[in-house]
Amino acid sequence: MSHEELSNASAPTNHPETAAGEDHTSAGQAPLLVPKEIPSEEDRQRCADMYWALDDPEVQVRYAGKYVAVHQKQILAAGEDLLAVYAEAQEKSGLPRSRIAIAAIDDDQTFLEN
Amino acid sequence: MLPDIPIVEVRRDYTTDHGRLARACYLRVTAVFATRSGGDVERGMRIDTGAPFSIVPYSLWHDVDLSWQPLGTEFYTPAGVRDPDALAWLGVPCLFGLLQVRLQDEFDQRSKPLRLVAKLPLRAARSHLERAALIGCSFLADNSLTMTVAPHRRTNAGALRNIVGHLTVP
Repeated sequence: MSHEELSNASAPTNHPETAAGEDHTSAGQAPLLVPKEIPSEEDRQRCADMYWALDDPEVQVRYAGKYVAVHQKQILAAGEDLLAVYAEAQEKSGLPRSRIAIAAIDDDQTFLEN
Repeated sequence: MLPDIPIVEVRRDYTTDHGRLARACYLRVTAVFATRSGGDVERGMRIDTGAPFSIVPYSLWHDVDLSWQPLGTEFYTPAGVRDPDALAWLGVPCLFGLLQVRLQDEFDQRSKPLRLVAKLPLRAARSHLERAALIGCSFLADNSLTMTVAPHRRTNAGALRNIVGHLTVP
């Protein structure tokens, strides 16, 4: 593994929910966090939206091969670049990431390529 | 704590030029990860017991900013020889890390925390698998999980449809 690749992995992120200046060098040294045992209402809504997107026949056809961002069974954004999908969804809805569900929609490649 | 995590079969039916059914399917569970900002994020994970390690794609661990801890950046063989190509996935060099996940059912019940030792690719792969986190064989062993799959008993009722088995958490 080259130094350049490790350096890229440590590049600062611009996520709205991450403190400015944080990088993945410190991420590797930070405490290992555990998901909550009991989901919040926000978590439940987000999960329900993800399940809806994974199951809805129209979503399967229209957004095959893409990430979709969902809130309350409404598609906020879709595309192949997850960060761009998040950004568009947040811009359109004004919602924080924590309230936006993401589902990866299968396409034929998913089933036909081993 | 939820002891049995439902395994969902995702299938798509193709047909051959001979008019025969070609049914493609994979197994999926829902995993919940912790982000570094303290939130949770859930993803469907594909169960691949033929894969020795789990894979958390770049667009998940990096772009979603998951909480993880490093376990290494290189592999050495059992004979102690450095293997520069061993820690890679689809040709992409990887980090090797530890995450904590909970598995979840469709009623939002969650398992106890489970150890997910995984390859973390250093960039996005040019493959549909970039969208699919993989649960490898080591996840079952590391957490003493029992996997039971019976596709002929596939359910077909409401939120429980398409369940073909369970991961039993001790």
